[in-house]
Amino acid sequence: MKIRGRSIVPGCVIAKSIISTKPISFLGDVNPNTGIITDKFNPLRGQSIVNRCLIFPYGKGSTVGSYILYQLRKNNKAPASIVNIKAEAIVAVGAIISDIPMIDEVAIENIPKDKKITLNSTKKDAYIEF
Amino acid sequence: MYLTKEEEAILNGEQGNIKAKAMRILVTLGDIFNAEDLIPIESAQIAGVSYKTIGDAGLEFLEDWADAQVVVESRMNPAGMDLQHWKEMGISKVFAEKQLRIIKALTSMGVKESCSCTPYHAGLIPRIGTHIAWSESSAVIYANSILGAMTNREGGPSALSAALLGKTPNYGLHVKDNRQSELLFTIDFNLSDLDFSLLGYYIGTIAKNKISAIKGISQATKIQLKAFGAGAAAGGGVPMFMMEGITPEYILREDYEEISVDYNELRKIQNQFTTCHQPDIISFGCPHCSYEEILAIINDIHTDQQIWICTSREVKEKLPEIPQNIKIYCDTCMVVAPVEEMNIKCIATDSTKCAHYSQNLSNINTLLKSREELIS
Repeated sequence: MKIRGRSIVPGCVIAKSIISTKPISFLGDVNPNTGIITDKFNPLRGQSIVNRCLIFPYGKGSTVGSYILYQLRKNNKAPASIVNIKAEAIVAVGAIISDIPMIDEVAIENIPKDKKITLNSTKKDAYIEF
Repeated sequence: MYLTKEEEAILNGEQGNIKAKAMRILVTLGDIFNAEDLIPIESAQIAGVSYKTIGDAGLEFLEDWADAQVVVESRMNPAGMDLQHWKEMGISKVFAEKQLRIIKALTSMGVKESCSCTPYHAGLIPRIGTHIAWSESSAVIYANSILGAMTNREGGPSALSAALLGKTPNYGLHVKDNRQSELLFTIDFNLSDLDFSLLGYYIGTIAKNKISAIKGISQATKIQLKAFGAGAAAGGGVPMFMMEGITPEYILREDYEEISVDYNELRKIQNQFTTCHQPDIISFGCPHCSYEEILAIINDIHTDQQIWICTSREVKEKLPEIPQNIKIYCDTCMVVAPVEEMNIKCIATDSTKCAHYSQNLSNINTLLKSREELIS
């Protein structure tokens, strides 16, 4: 199945999906040294986003969250790709400075969890395929 | 979004990797918020300077970008300490070393080492109708509302990107038609100095991130408006306010909603921010004090208690001799200094913004009173 979206950060990468139905605040909800989700209220607590296709509705919280994505990248603990329903400034800026391919305007409810997702993000065409 | 050939070339890396990333940030934000194009800016003000707020993540980022150069006048928000007198403040050496690395990264990019939330008291006063990219929330609301300049509430990286390219995406408050209020707050009581801060905070909690118009205030000084704006930007995320007969812009949307403010709401907020009564320290300067504000404190002071006043270096340099129990710190403020590590349990302030962040960010108790009461 192929779902089209909008390119936020270009790139093409294949990675296993991890899906959060809740918005994510990178400052506070994710450990920048391990890439483990620490948010008490997220059912994914304790799971790793390292090298995964991280799928969630949108970002929230402090703008420092952009820098946390950057620190994850420098620690080799960043997600391989990001898919949002609606990109906002914190996650978009974080993905840009960290070179994490990202698309948005995707209906995420139809994406299966723990499945290999091809994310292709270019100016002309942006989609995920599984 | 439309890009010129030159902008397209920067995006494709013609001026190096960092400027390409900066351009991608501006273009992506422009796409997300439906900007038509990029517009030139006259100045940038970059938040996310304190090591307390951005941590190792932000430090690493700024050091990696330190080779690029800004192309417009750029200033920093307050740092986590007075860059010269940090030992006196009780700042640890570990914190100070990391903080100084952040400042070094920013100054090597050409950002002026003038760390203030009130650049308009320190020689940078944007003219009416000009476009700027500022990020400190109280400075953004001051510039939009009182000076009539035009800026969105930028984040640290987007303000830095704007500084490196001299441009910002043309959306939000850069577009004249968007500078209208859908909320009208009516006031039928007189306001003390402290009430301006309380009213701003209260309106912020209702308006969230919407432009807010206010009717019923017959006169206000710029200092009172500064306190009002800082409160509104901290209580919610108000980017601009309009006061009938006072601010340069006052335009209501046709379908505006009217909200009458009850005086008791202000007293409720004062109570909420009064959780202790024996302050370890009395603090002024949130936002940073102007020269005139500090003179007023010096002239009226009766208390022997320890007072800290935060201001910009530019203002400190002009000050006359000050009483012994007053310490003037610059480059920093009580919101972004690591007060929780400085053995301060109760802080007295005349600012709802300072009280809000002391309670919510630093987890310390606050006493909120008027300046006159605190120094009597």
